[in-house]
Amino acid sequence: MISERAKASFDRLMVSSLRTGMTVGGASVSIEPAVSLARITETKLVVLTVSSYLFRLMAILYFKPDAATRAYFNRHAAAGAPELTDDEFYDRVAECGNVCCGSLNRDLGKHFPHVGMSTPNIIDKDCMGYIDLLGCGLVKDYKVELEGGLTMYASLCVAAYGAVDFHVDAIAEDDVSVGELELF
Amino acid sequence: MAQILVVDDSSTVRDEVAGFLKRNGLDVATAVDGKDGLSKLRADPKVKLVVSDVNMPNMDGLTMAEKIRGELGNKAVNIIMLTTENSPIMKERGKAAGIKGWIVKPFKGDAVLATFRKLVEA
Repeated sequence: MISERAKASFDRLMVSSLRTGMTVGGASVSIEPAVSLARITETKLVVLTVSSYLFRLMAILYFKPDAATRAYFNRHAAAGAPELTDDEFYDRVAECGNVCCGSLNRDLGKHFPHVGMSTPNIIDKDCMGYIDLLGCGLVKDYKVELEGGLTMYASLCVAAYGAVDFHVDAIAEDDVSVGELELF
Repeated sequence: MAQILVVDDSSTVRDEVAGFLKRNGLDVATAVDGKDGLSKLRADPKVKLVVSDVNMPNMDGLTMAEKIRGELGNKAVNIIMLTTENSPIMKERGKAAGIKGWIVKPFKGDAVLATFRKLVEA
């Protein structure tokens, strides 16, 4: 139901969105395909969906609520600033997922004007055991290496309800520059 | 009296945007969703600028903008949306509600500070 070129296009858009979302604040990032996420030790997921009448896409970011990850998401704090509370930490990871999926949603909106995006949800990694029930026609996993040596993982899952075919050769710039004010 | 009201359900965004504006000498209040934003603006009608997310629980940012102009009858406050969305349909709805502008997240304070100052000092 998902053409080969559509699968490649979803993949390009996901990599681009990870680059957009994970580099907020000027961080560097390296993204490569991951063969399997069966053995990763991340325990939590941020999940967002992009839905249309043709497909439902899930963008998933895996993370650990450990000291290294907390430090990464608090890296712009002033010296001596308090550590993040659990709520603040989870909100930062969720917002990172929100910016990633927002980029994906905008890019997909150029091909599927009817798409709509969810807000972020944080769930346990054990929930991924049920992903097969969705009958996804495309599942791609990614290893995301961040500045300072932190590694996170991501997945793209797409379940199609009809024939999905589109082509993205190169990632176009946003029509509106990210972060800039468009005055009406 | 705050000059700017930042409305976002994400504490990360509220802290980032409000923190940046405060460090640059502006008086800022925050609200956690459109309903809260409407309530804060009702209590402090002299706010000059509302910077709001679109997708939020309880009341979204575009509905809040419509209610600011309609229910509150506040035609003076400038409203700018700060969102991951860039949908022409949403922008048209925002324009119909009289919003002043649109920013696609992530927030880059340096890119908008001068305009924000003009809007609150006008």
